[in-house]
Amino acid sequence: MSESENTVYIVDDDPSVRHSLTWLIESVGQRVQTYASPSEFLQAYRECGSGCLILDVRMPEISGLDLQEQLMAKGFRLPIIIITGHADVPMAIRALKAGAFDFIEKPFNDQLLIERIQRAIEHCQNLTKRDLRRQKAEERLSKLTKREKQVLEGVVAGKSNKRLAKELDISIKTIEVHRANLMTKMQAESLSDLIIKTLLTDEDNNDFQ
Amino acid sequence: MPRMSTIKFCMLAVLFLTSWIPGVILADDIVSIGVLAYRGDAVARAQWAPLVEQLSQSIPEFRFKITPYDMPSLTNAVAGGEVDLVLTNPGHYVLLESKYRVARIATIKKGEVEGEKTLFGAVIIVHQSRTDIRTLEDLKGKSFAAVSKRAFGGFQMAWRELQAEGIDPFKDISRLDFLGFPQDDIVTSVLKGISDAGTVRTGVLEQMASEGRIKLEDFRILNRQSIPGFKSLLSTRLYPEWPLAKTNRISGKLAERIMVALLSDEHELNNISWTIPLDYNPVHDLMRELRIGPYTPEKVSLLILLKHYWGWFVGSLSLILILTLATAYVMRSNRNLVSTQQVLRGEISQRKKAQHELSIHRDNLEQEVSARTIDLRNVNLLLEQDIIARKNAEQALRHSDQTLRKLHYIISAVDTPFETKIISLLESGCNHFGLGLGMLSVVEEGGKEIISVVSAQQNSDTLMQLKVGETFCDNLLNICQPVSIANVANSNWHGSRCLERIGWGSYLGACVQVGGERYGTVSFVAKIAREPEFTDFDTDIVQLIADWIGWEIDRQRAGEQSQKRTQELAHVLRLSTMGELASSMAHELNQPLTAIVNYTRGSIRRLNADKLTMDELPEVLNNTAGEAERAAKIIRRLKRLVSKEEFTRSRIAIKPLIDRVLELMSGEIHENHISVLKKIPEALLDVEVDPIQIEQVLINLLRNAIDALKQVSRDDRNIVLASEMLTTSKLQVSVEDNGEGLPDSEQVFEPFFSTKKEGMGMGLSISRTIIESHGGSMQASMTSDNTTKVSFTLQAVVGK
Repeated sequence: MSESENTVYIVDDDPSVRHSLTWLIESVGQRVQTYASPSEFLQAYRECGSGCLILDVRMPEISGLDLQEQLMAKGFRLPIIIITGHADVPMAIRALKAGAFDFIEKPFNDQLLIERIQRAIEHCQNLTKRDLRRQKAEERLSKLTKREKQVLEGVVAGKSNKRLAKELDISIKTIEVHRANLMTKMQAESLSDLIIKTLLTDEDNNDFQ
Repeated sequence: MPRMSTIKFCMLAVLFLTSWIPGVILADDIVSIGVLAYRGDAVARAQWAPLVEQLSQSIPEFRFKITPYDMPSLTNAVAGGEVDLVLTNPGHYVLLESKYRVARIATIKKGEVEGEKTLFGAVIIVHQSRTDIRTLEDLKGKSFAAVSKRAFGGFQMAWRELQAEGIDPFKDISRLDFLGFPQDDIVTSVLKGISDAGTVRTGVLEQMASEGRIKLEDFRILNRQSIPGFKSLLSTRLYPEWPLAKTNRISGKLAERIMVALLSDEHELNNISWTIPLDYNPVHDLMRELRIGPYTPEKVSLLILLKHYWGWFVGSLSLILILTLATAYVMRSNRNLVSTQQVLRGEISQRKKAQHELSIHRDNLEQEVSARTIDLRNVNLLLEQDIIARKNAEQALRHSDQTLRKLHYIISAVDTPFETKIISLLESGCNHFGLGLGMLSVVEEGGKEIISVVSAQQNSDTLMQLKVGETFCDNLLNICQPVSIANVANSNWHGSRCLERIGWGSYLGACVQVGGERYGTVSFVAKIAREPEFTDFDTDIVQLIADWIGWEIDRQRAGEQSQKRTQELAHVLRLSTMGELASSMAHELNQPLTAIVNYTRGSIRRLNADKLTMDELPEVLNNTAGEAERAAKIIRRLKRLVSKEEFTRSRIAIKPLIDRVLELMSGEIHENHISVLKKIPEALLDVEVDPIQIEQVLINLLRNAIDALKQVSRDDRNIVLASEMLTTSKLQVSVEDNGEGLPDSEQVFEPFFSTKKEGMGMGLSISRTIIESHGGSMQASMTSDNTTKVSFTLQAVVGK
């Protein structure tokens, strides 16, 4: 399984639905991988690359919704599309509240399904790109000295050089030097770029708290 | 003859036990329907008159009568057992259900719009110009119009929504205008600005608008709800329509027939028709939240204290009573002792007098003894004669006893057909009475002709086709009591055309009645006069034979009728089962449909992109066709179940039937994580049944088991489906589950009993009726390890 390729993972206990879905999705040139049960999926799937996961609700061992909740709790990253033969409102609400990307009723319009799959994959790619950017920003941030970090915090908070100098009890000149170093180390092209990159890591921190 | 009457009694008892006697229904039995008359008695009578007509036509043995009540008096009528059926609003019904155990048997469908016929709600309105009121919250400090505090659609529904928003209408609303019925007044009040806001049941606004009395644009709907399929303006949750409910005064069987009559009549009367009873839990929820109706918190009063602590009251009262009694008793004993002393003194003086008299008597005694001895000798002579008479009587009794045993043996034989039994009865009659000929004459209804004669002997040709007037039958039918003539020549009938012409010397006969109407006669005759006379016992026997024949014919007729009823019930059950099966079937059907869409759309996309190779095409087309066949198979299974087929029995093996049912239910079984263990040996005899009805029963039992297992942890949900031969001619099928048990193993078969809140309570009752109509029986039991077992038996077919 190459990392760059997008794969649509399908978990459904009905062999004809699995087979026909593969036939349909492969017709638009998408890679497909199918699993007959949640446990088979959990055993075989190793997290890598991007794509999306299609889950049937009604399955013998554990339901698609339960699997979805389990995966989300483990920090599963791929967008999940839930499909079901008899949808009701509470079921849809439960799936979407638990973070499902979409909820589609069987039998579905092929156009809609393929559009949704593509949207999900794009969403997944965006997430991956953002993750990469965040990783880089984090690396750069870790290379800053303690003083530089203090100055960065001040700059992001919108404080003027003058005020910062007063607060940190150093000269304006020194502040300016720190700021120049900051920009280089963070590889920021402008003040706004610097702020965006810093906030990216901040958001990350919030997620972990 | 005291022993004779004991025997008569036993004989009657034997015959009653061996004959099944259908309950006699009097034509003037009245079924009283109490209805809530919310627009006055006259309107209620007019409104429900078609219902009475419909029921009277379907069930002609009963007279149905409407009695209108207001709400408190209807409650009293139910409490006092004055009504058999109740027709009232859902709120009031819920109260009656929890207080007096009335049970719903059908729900009204009314109105024009499909999908809104069985549910209704309320709408909360303000005038369009009141821009200050846009949400329920804004109603605080405003005035509000409604029907009354007890009105379900006319107030309580809106109350619940207000309370959910944290508004107490009795505190936060500045003024509640309870305007009563009709609800039109509330709309007018809001329109004229007399009340700031108001509530009416759904449909009232639309009705008034269609009559041109208001414009819908003049109103704003607060808390507007949109529920798919429900088109009327709506502000509250939806609730089921009015139910028709039975009180415990009416039998389950009759209630079933009423239900079937209501459901099977499809045309609407006054825009009203009926459906199977709906779930009234939403109404319960409302009452619970508002703490009204059955959920009104109890107030502590002297009466309730007494109810709770009656033991203590009674205890202390009786202690006081005992102490008082003891004191009184001691005082009385004292008094008695004094008076006894006086009496004793008197007695001593009397004793002395008596001693004196005794000595005089002793002298007379000797003379009396010799006189007595002579008397005794005479008595002894009489006793000897008596003993001989008794011996004769005993012999007669022994003879009668034998005859009775013989009759019992003939009647209770299981496999003998009715006609053969009659011949045997006539033969034993001839033997017992010592008369040559026995016959059963049937009188044609209305006419006076004997249309058939069954004779115990061959030479009965001469009797055929006689006019009733020319035989003794006519007299017998008019008297309707057994007639015995040992010697025609010595009787009042001497010279009578009907007896003499044919040349009978003796005659014994009784009249046969079926269901209270004359049917014919049983008679025994001989050419010569009979010696000795007929006894009471003889006339009893001939009457018993006649009675048994009447009962048996009546029973056969009733059996035919009840079979028809069973069929109707089975159809109702099928329809209700259908509804429950529908959702699981819909899912099953969606699978092949999804696959078909995927295959075809996928192929089109490939074609357009020039990616479809000829090698792939046959396989995909094959798959598509296969899925279409799978869908068709599912639909066929479902169709078989709904069709109102005739009662057709055929000889089948039980195993494939069980497999078919399991396949039909597989969706539900899987979804609920249930493991099913089948214990069906290969060596089972065939049964002769209506397969669809037996499938129905099995589906029902399985569904009950599945529902009971929902209360149990997912890893431990087991059903055992077993079949075995109980005897060589009896096959048993049983369904066991380890789910929530049964409350009472007999009560579950009562119609309209249900442990499920949403259950109709008909499943087991109808199932048992079906099994009984197949000559089997159905039982439920709980074993010690908490297993519930419901089983039924069927007659096995022996031989090829």
